[in-house]
Amino acid sequence: MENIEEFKKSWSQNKAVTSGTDSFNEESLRKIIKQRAKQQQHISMKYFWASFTLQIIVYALLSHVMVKYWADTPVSLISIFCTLLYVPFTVMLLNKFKRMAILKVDNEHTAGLPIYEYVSQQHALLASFYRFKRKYELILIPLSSAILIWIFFRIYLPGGVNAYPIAAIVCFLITLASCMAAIVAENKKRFRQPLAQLDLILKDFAQ
Amino acid sequence: MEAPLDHKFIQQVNQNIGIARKVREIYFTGSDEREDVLQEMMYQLWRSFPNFKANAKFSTWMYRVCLNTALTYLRKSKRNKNEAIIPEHHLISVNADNQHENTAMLYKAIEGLSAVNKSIILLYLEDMSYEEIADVTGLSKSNISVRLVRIKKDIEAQIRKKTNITEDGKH
Repeated sequence: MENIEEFKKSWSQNKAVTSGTDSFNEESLRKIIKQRAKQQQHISMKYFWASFTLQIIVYALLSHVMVKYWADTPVSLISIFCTLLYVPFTVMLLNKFKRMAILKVDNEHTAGLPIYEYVSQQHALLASFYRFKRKYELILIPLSSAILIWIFFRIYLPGGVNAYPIAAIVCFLITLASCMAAIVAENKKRFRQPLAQLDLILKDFAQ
Repeated sequence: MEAPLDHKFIQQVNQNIGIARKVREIYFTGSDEREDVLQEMMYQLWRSFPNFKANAKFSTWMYRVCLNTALTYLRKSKRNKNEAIIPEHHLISVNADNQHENTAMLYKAIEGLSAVNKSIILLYLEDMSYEEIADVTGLSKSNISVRLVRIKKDIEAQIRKKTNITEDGKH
C-alpha cells in the first residue's frame, strides 16, 4: 500500500490516538490552568527581576552619589543625566512585563489566529523589542559605563580621570567588555535564537 | 487566579480532545513532553476562549490554537531536537495490527516534513477542505493545493522507500 488515500483511510479508522482517557472536568482543568499560569508567571518574573535588579543597583548608586555629593555640581549633574538615560528603558521594561505578568483571560490573546498570522505577530513583537533594546544598549552601555567610571574616579581618586587617564580607559574597557559579553549571551538566548526559529517557520510559509 | 470555567467550553474541549492528541502525536515524541504540551494546549485554549466567535466552528478554532501552541512549544523545547524516534512513540505495539502499522508508517513519513507541512498534512488527513486548511494555516487555497501535491509525493516516496527496505530485509 503506497497510495496516500489508502493511508488516509487507515488514519481515520485508527482510534488509538483519539481514544485516550485524558478528558477534563472542571476540577482537573482548573488545576492545569493554575499550574500553567504560575509557571508562566515564574518564567516572566525571573527575567524581569534579573533586568530590574541591575537597574535598581544603578538607580541606588546614582541616588547615593547625588545625595552625598550634592555640593559637587558636575557630579550631581552627571548623576541626574545618567538617571534620566535609564528611565525610558525602565518604563519600557515595566510595560512589557506588566503585560506578561497579568495573566488573565482577555481579548488580546492571539493563539486562535491562523498559524501564519500568529507566527508573524510573534516575530514582529519580538523583533521590535529587540531592535529597540539593541539601539538603546548601543548608546546606554558605553555611555553609562563611562559616566560611572568618571564618577568613581572623581569621588575616590584625587584628580579624577584626568590624573589617571590610562587606568580610567582600562577600567572603562573592562566594564564595557564584561557588559557586552553578558548582553551578547542574553540576546542570543532570548532574542536571536527565537527570532531565527520564527524566521524559519515564516520562510517555510513563503516557499 | 480564579476565573470562571465555562461548562460549554469544557464540554466542547472534551468532545474535540482528539484534535489536541493528534497534534501532539505529529509534533512530539517523548511521553513527558506530550503530557506537558497537552496541558499547555488546554491552558492556551482556556486563555483564547473569549476570542472564540460563536458562529465559528469550534474544531477549526481548536486546531488553530493547538497547532500554534505546538509550534511555540517546539520552538522553546530543547529536548525535542535530539530525541530519537522509537516505535512506541506512536502507540504501536510489536503485535500491532495492519491498520496500526499503516498509521505508524504514515507517522514516520510525516516526521521528516517541516513544521508547516506537518500541520497541512494533519488537516488533510482529518478530512478538512482546502478552504478550512487555508483558514487554519493562513495560506491561500491555491498554495495549499500546490503544497499538498508535493507533500503527498514526499510521503509516498518515503513510504515506498521504507516498504522496499522492509521487503528486502525479509528476503
